[in-house]
Amino acid sequence: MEVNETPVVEVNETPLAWYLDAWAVRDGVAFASMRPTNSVGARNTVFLSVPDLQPTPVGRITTALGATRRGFQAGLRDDAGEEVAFGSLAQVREMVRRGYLAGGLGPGGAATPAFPLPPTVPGVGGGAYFGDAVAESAAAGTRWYEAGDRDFQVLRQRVPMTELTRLVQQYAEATILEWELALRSRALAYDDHRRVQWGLREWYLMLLSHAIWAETSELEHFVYAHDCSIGHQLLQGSDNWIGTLHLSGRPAHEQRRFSDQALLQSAPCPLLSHWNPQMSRLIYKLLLPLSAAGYFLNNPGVPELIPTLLAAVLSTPASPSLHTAFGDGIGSEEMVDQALSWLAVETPQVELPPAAEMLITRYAWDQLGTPPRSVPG
Amino acid sequence: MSTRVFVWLTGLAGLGLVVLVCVQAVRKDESGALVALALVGAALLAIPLLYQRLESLKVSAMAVELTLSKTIVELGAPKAAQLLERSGLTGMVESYEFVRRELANSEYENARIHLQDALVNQAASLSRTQKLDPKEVHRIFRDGSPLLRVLMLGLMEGDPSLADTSVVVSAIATSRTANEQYHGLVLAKHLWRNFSAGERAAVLSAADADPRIEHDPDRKTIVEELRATP
Repeated sequence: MEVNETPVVEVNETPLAWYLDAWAVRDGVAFASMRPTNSVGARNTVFLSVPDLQPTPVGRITTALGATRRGFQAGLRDDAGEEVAFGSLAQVREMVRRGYLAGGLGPGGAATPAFPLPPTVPGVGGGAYFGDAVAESAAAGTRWYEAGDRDFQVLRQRVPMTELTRLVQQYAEATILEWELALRSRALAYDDHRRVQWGLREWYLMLLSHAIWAETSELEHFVYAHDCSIGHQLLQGSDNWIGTLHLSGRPAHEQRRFSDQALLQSAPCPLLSHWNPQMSRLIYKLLLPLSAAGYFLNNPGVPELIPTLLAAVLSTPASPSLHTAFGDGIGSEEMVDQALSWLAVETPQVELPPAAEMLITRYAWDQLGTPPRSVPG
Repeated sequence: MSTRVFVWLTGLAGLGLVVLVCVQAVRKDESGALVALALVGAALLAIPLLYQRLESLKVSAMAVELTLSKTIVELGAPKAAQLLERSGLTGMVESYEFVRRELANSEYENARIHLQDALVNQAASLSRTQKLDPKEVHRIFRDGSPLLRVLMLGLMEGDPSLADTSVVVSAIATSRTANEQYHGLVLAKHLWRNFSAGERAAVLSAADADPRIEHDPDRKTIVEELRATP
């Protein structure tokens, strides 16, 4: 059934627009109507639900109103209490999509972390390691973001893929250092310590299966240079985890305790000294750019993009096996290139009305327990 | 399409030859070649006229199935059309349409529902063993006839991975027939444990907004079961 998406003006000059009637933000489910503001006189009412958010006509607005008695948020209003009007159904879809992503149930999201890690401290541990890598990089001061460049063409022109790949690898190593440091700090309770330890093993394997290192010798070099105890166990241990990974591209089922999503949700976010200390988890660096259109506008440098890029690499499917990851098939640069393409599709595509953009940005930052900042995220 | 163009070009060529022969005849040219040309022209001219009749004769035994399959293909679901055709389901649907027309009186309503449910069960059996493309199934459900919508719900009952919340809400809120709404609720029951709180609320809101459900014991029972399921 076709849905007439174009807002119209009634004969009596009552302007019609699309309004959200009822919205379950975290579930990605909503009802919207074409109607005058603050009215139930709907010309058209549709239902939208993730994943495809295809507008489905529901015939009557009473269905939407009924949902508000069952836990749905009633409408969407700005700070002045006015209903937020959308110019098209595409804008409504974008709003529902971004609300769902910001809630943490979308790509890489698992709502709550699988295990607790101590908050990261800016400029220390993994943050210091990444800071050194950035200081050595010729791309460190490059401003890549240009308004309207949704396909990362400017970035691709200004920063060689080899350099982006190197920085992504070093940021991944910074997450490992942060994780190893948390284990050494003995701040964790016994059970949590065991879970965090196991999580780090699987994190190594997850990074390996996504071709973060072009060769296993690079991982060995990093592990020995920084005396990473869990890395040592993996490389020298008798349980042959790496061997299993080489054959199948994935850790064996009995070696898994956490899903990829749970690991990504729990992974620490090493911070440069001037970064927002509230960004303690890597997943925040993915969910914010996916849901807040102005994120890269406020964070236009290459270093700020790298955590997002790592999270995007880990959100895309892994290589079928490490034989293909190392040499024969898809390599590290290609993984990063694919992640950029994925981000180009998943980051906000549709411009929202200013009031809606402001509300969704605030909601996304609220998920971190912190207000939006103009300083680097 | 290209065959049709070729046929009509052949006809035009035939017409051209016939006209040429007529012109030569007016000029008193009575050669044997002219007679042969006239025969060839007439034969070519007859092809477009005979082609459609020949095509109808060729497919008459399969016409019923082909009509429904063509409809499904036109809806943008060629793979589903092929599977439904191969399973014999399209033939059953056409037979059902004939029975439904013949038993249109209200006294046969239960018989019609029984037959339609049998079709839904057949569809469910098919999707339990065959993999269908969810996008195609959704497309047929969205743009298809009332009977095709019910049939798609049957496919989703057999393979719930083909379904999503939008389909369930649409089947309940904007059902074309009472039986579609019933199967929409049955499908909701299949999917209930996988639905989020928001999806459940949307389905129950759609059910509550339709007063007809209150007056039908079967549908009312399912809605009560859904409400009671934690």
